[in-house]
Amino acid sequence: MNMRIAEILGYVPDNLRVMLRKTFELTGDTLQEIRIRCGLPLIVNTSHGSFAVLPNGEISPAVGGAYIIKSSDLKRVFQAICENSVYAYAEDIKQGFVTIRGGHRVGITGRASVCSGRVESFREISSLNIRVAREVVGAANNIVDSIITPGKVKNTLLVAPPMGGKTTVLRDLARQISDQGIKTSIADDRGELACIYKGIPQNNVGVQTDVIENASKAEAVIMLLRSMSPQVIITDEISTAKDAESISQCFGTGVTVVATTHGDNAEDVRARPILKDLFGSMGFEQIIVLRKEGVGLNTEIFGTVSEVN
Amino acid sequence: MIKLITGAVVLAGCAALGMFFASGFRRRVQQLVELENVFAQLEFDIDYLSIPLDESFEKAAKNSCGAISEMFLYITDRLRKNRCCDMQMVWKRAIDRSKDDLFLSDDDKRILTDFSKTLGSGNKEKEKNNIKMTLMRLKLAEDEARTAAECNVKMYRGLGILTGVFIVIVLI
Repeated sequence: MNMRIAEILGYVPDNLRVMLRKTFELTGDTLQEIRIRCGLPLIVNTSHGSFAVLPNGEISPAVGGAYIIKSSDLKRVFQAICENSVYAYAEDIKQGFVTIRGGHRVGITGRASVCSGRVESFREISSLNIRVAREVVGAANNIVDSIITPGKVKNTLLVAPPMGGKTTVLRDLARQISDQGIKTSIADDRGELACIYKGIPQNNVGVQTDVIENASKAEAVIMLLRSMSPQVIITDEISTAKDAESISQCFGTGVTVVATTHGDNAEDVRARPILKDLFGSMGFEQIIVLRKEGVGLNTEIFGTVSEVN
Repeated sequence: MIKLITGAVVLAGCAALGMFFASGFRRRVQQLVELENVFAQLEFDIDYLSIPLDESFEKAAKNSCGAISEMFLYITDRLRKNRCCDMQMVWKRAIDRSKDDLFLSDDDKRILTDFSKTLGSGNKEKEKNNIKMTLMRLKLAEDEARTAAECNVKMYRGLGILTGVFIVIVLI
């Protein structure tokens, strides 16, 4: 069994552990999510589809006979992902997820407790979604030479539609840039790139990498710029005007930015109002559109269409 | 001469026995005070440092000694080895494992198991309230233990010596 996936077993009670150990052996590296919903069947999502987990750990496309999650199961898993210290994870819970050992992210839903229009915590937890962390070493091999040129890293915007592999490529790119001795900083507002657990990145993002996780991108980029003297700043998904503004402040300072955004092609991206100011003489030097050429975990190959300004 | 030596040995033995029983009352007070310190530290760790319980209990084990230290070492170990453990069960087992060296009364132990019921499941406010309540109960227990110690320490010491004297007189 994949050791990283096996880490998840440390967060479930004994009865689920026995069941899921068998399930993990069956699903192998195709496992993507484990859905734990109170009073509903235990479901695993794999790259081959969605399956219900039977009490003996076998998986079935039909939910009949599946193991039904008890509220005590859900409570135990929630307590475990919070290391039996819910107060210590209050900020993560507010954001709706907790990162556990192995870099897996556990999404939380339920009856929210709201204060001043913002979610403060959850009064009752109704479901948890353990998203299996995946790291594809070498995912950026096809594009790395277009970005790291002799003596310079190019300001680059990676573009792909949702689920197009942007984060996977960006993570590997961070590792490859950093491992060349280039001081790299990551502004990771959703904790998806490095997946820090107790201060240690669970994904290999390189030896020269500093990470700010869970802070707003706009704030994190400026903080990194001021405090860590980075040569390259890496950030995922520019989606708001504030994100774009903070990135524009990096241009012209000698710091290179490698970022991603949703999109299908370079023209659409250039035309987006929040992004249009990021191109030009001091902005992104190239847009790389990612196309998924292969299917299947660990065999994904990301082809590129590079469009240089 | 032999009688004199035997008498002295019996007297010393009984006095030591009296001292031993008396020390139980003093040790109870010491352990309650130690627990109060641990809980005050725990409140600080939760309120200001927001560190998880296992780290705080590890500190508690280092900063205390004897049975209290053993108890927190066990709890830390269990929390780390089994994240899905039943917190109250872990505390009960920790208390049970250290029972020979714990001088706490059943009521004192109940304060600890009551504390562990909701431990780790709430937000800061809930945890702080739980600790405050526990500290208050421990303080009351400490006051009661001090009063009991004041009366009983003298009584057991005296009883030990008097029993010794009585046995010596009977033997002679």
